[in-house]
Amino acid sequence: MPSLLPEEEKLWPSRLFALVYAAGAVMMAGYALWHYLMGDYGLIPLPTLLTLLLVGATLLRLSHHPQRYLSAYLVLISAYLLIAVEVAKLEGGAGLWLGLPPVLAFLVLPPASAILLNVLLGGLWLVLLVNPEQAGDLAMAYLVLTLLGALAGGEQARQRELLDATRPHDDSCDALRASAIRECLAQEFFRARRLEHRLSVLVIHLPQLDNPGDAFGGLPRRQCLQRFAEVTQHSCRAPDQLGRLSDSLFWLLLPDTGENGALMVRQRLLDALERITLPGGEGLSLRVALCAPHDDESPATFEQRLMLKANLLRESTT
Amino acid sequence: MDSKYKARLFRTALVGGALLLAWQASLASDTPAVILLGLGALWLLATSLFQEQSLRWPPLLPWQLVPGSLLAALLWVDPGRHGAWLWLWAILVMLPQPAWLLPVQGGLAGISWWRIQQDLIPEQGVLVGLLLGAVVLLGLGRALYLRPLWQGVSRRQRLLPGTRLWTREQLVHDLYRERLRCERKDYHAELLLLRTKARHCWPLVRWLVAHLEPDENVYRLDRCTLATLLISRNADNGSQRRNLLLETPPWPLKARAIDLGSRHALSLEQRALARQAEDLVILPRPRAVDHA
Repeated sequence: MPSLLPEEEKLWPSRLFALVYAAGAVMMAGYALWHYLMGDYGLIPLPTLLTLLLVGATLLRLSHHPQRYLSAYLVLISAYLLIAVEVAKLEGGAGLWLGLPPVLAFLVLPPASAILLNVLLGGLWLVLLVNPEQAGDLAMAYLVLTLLGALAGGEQARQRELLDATRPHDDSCDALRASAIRECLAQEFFRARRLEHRLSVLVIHLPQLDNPGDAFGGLPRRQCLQRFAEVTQHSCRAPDQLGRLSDSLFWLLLPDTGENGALMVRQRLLDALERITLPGGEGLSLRVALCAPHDDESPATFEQRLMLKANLLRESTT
Repeated sequence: MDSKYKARLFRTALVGGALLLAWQASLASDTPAVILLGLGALWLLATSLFQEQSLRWPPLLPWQLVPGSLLAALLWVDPGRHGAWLWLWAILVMLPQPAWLLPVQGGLAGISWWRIQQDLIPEQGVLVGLLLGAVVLLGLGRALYLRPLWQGVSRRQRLLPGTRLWTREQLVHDLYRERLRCERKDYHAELLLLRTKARHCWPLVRWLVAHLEPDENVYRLDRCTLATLLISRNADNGSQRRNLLLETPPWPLKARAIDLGSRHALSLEQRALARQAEDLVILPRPRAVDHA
């Protein structure tokens, strides 16, 4: 299962956004030049300001600054200024221009902020762009646009949720996600009871993934996860299932495996993982505990016991 | 936010959108606009009603054409009154959709722009065109961000959230795992292929999920064929369970039971089931070959 790599996936759309912003900046610069050539010196400041804002937005968008999403606000401000000052002067076509601000907000902002902004600014646009006799009709149109834009956002949210509910794999490494591995545990638990076989679970804790930040940044962290999952999948047997419970906690389900078999898998796993070296040069440290259901234990208490074991592992590191 | 609550919110918004469009339709003056707005309202209403069922439709179905063609038609028949809606093209492009649909939507947007600019002075028409191009590009950028998400949904392995219904790929994976487990331990596992009419397929899924053990999954191979892996203590127990399951199926179906010990190819068996005349064919484990 190939995992998604957000950084690479999102490079292109980010450039496309920057390209559109840059095109806007060029347009505004041309507009300022036009006024200059025409001798309308009083009209130059606004397009110049917009050019600067859009150039700023383009650069911010292309940068790796953590607050680069603010470029969206720069673009919104410049587009709003343009519409409020220049477009409002145009004869006719008010109905046409009224649609642009709400749609633009949906394009550059997340849905919730866009809805809020559109509702807050709705009155302003109606006053600026519309003459009173049309106001009722166009207010309706504005409302419809805002709602339809929100529906598109809702559809995206629905798809995202559907994906979360239907993809059993973790986003960043070759393991099952928490909900999926919990379900597998319940199924294996039930089958072990039904057919009177053994079930063992290895609880694995990687303390290096616990402390985020300074020494262990985003990329090495991801590499560490992927290396760990890869080696684990390689050294366990095909019916065994690896799942990621939280940032640093994994379960390895070993169906049809008694204590001896599980200890053998554990030893093999430790031997294989010992050879991993991380980008910083240090080795991967991990703690593994073995857990098996008692004869008359319920699935819920077994899961609780697994969590308790994980907490013990976590505390033993400090 | 809780996902159930979110789903309800989305449904409410859909119904709200349908009502707004219906209201607009009642206010519109000429008949074609009334019809188009009414159709839009009906479409939103239908979307809200069939939200759960829509998960069963193939994800590549180009439903995005419905709002696209409605919008294009509306702008064509009444450009003066609904001019503000022109910008909705950017939002339509933003919806996740197959790649071949994007030029179509772009072409429709171009036609709408042509119609709108006929009523404007040329400079304003060009300005509208440039801005429309810019916002459509922004919409495309948003769509590219969401592309992995959409692709993931199209290739998902679990077909319905919360149900033990999986795809063929998952079955191939599970078959491999179960074969290995059977070889190591003395389980009896058999692949049960079931074929029924396409319209009975989804109810049959529900029935199977309710009648199988909680650790057995259902897989959907195509419109008419379902599969499951029956895991039992031994061969007798397995055939007993299979007969019990097939004794009173709620819908007429044909079945093919394949012992996992015998090496049969899934696609061949699926084709054989489609041609099979008997109600049930059992392919037992081949006798151990006598090397002596």
